[in-house]
Amino acid sequence: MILADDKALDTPMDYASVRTLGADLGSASVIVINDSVSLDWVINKTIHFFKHESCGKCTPCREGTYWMLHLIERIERGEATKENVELLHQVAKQMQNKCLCPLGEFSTMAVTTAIERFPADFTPSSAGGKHG
Amino acid sequence: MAKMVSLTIDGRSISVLEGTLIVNAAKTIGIDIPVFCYHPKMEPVGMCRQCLVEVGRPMIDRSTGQPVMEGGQPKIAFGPKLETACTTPVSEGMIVLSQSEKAKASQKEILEFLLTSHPLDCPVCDKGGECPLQNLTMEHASPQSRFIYDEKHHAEKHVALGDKIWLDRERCIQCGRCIRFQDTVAGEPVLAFYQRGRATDIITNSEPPFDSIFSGNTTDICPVGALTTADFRFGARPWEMKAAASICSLCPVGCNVTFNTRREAKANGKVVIKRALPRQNEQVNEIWMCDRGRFGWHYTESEERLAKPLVRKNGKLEKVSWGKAISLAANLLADSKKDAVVLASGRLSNEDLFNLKQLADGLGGEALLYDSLPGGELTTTYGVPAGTNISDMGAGTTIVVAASDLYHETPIWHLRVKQAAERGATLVIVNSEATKLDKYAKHIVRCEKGGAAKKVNGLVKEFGDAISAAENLVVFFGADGSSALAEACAELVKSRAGKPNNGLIGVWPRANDQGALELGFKPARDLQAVFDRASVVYVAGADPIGDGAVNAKNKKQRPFVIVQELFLTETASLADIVLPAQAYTERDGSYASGERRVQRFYPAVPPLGETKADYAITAQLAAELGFELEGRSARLVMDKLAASVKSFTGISYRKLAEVTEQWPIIGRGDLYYGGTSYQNSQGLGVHLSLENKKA
Amino acid sequence: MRVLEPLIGLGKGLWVTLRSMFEKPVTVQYPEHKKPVKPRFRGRHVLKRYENGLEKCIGCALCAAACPADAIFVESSENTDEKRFSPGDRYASTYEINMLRCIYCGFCEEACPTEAIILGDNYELSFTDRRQAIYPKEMLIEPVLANGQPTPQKTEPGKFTRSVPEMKDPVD
Repeated sequence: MILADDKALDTPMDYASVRTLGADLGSASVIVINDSVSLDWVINKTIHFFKHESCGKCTPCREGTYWMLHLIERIERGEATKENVELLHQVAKQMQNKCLCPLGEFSTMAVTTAIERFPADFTPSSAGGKHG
Repeated sequence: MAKMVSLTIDGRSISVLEGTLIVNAAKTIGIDIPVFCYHPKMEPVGMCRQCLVEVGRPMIDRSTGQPVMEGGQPKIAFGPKLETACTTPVSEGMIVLSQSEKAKASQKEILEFLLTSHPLDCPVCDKGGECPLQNLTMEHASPQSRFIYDEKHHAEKHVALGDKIWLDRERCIQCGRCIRFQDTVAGEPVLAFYQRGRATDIITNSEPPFDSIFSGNTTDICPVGALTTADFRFGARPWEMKAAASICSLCPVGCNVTFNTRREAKANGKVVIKRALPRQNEQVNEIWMCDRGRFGWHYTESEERLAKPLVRKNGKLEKVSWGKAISLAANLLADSKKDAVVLASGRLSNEDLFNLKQLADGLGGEALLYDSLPGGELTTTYGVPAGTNISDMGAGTTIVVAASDLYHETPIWHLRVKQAAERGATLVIVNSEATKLDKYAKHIVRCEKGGAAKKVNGLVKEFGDAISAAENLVVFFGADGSSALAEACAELVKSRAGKPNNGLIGVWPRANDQGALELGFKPARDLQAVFDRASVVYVAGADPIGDGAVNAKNKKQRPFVIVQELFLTETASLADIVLPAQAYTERDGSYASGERRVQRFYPAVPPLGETKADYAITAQLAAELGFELEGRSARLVMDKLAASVKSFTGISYRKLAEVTEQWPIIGRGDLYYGGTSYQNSQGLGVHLSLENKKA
Repeated sequence: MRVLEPLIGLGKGLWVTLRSMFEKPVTVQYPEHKKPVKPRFRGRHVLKRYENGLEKCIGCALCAAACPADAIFVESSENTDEKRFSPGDRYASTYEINMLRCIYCGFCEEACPTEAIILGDNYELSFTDRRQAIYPKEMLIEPVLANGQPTPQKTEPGKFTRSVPEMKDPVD
């Protein structure tokens, strides 16, 4: 869940309040980054993490995280087209509400919100760009 | 009275038993919800997510506990997500939508995910043509893939799991059916998942690899071509083969099988059997088969099969015509009369044995059963009657297994007794050695070889109620040297004779010993003496000299021997006349299983050379000797048999071919549900009655 | 002048006849001269090879399944590195086409996943016995090209590990 909203700083960390921001409390971990960081790099890291941690039992998470990883790597290398970014978005959405456990679900949320809210970071020109 | 639940699936209302899973409830009304990891014979895991459906339940008002009504009907609340039909049991008033837009989109998407990693192996994959993944892809998935081919996951292609099974790691869709089968059904956890995520692989953790006599079943239930048999590798395409129903001839379980045959150029234009698959018979072998039966039919196609009759001339066996061989044999038998002995084994069908018995009776000679369990004839009085089904045995049943290693002798009985024990049956094992069934037994009694009878006699004293107060008692007995064991076991079940799921079951060494005993053959004792005093021995389907039961003496003292066999065994090579018989794959016939169920088999391939069916040969001999025996077809012999042998009363080939609806629904173009076992449309068999019952 | 009209008609007709004597005939003097066939002509089948000599056919029997006349018979066997016929797991050890059953529709060509079977240019087939019409693999497989080795070949282990050779989309 990627947020760029000052309201976030004033929101108490409980389930109901966090939901008003369109996010979920999850494991209550917060990562703060500044605007010099390119989000495709961040998403690459999160997808990498979830792909590595996926247990492999259910089809959407096992195959979906693998697919998303390949897509994001291509995006990060600058080899991707707009269709590839759209595909990444669709794959993430396709995984939602189908997985056996929340790991698969949560792996998709950062991806969807990042692409929806910060599309500029996923264009070819932004690739290989600034990392944190 | 079991509770029934009413629900609606895709607009159709049904009523099923409480606890039924949605996917099974849908199946009963012909709605196929696609599945991969679910199998009707195993507990569901909900792993593959292919069966996701929309499920709505009546809303209940939390304060009043009453359903919320809307327009006279209960208001239905659909879950926020789709639910797996394989793990969700039905509930009252439930509404299931498997064809709604959401559900259809989900089925399509899960298949798309599976296909991103699945290799494009269909042209070379043995499963092609009978592959659930192929079928479901054609039905539900998108024709184009959005995954870039170069990024596909690669893994080891042909990994040998033992010498019978090949694993292709790329094709595996990680459904876990093989692992769950080995763990829960077979009871031998020799397969496991290794690593996680996209790198999940199947490995075998036994030495030798995949050390299980049930390994072939995993190739039936695997929904893709990941597990295939080495025996059949690249044999033929499923649509190129014809199917023929048969009964496995290797052990007394009598597993129903289907042979797939094809006319091949490799075999010089002959029709050959390519593979054997199980046929569903829930009362005998369910949908399983052991590896011995699955790969053990090759002997019928051996190059060394006899194709022409042989007669000894000047010390050597020479090929002759049937007419000559029969007339010579008839002369020998006519001269010997009462001193003739007919020695048959349980390898022959009921029809063959009946004709042999009639011949022996007509001559006034003896009819002996080769190498069976001493005391086995007690099963004709105390055996299990109609209505017996190991699948019905659970809590309240006591099963005694004496002096027999079911796993090696009759693997499918091992499987079913194990499952009965897991359902609560009390298992008592009396054996001199440890067996794989021990870990399911409540009581294990060790004895010396030959000492099982004594221990069986002491069972009631030692375990009291477990034996005497059990609702049902079944005793399996094997070979322990003398008839004392059979007698001791018969004592245990005497009072229950005639009650279903009660009685004596002999773990015979061959398929049809039960039939032979029912037809009046006596188990042979001291074959050496028999050979010494007989003037002619007519041996059918037995090799006493090769097995060491009889010493081949010099010609003068030896009786004349007529052998009816498939191969030139040691006995045949020393015989005076050798008559070539047809294998069971080439003809009709019937076997009586150890549970006293008569099942018929059908021809799969044309007969070899000039071979004839055993019953036909015996009938021809009888005709030469001046009395009439039916030999025109197996069906007619059975009719005669049923008319004269009490326990076979009412049995006919038509009755043996009757089938009733079985659950789970197997075959019929719905391979993803149960696997590639065959639907049984050729006959479930008929139980023998206990007419010889003595109170 | 009524006499001339029919003569003029006759003359016109005879002129056409005379003129056509000097036109170039369209007759092709077969068999001395043969008309070249069109690019997608469907003639006698050919089992193709790769440049290195390995057969393209992987014994999948999809051609046999697609054939509306049931003219093709395929039996498959496994490749080993000592005796390799095709760059995959599987090759066709028996491949027979009954040319009398074949209707030259080209479905087998369309079904083949490796572009192994194609319908070539040869239309000159004749037999004197029905049995001669069953063409075995030896008659159908194309000869080895210049740089290639005949099959079976001995290949190094580890080189041909894929079950089906990797293919590109067809160009023609």
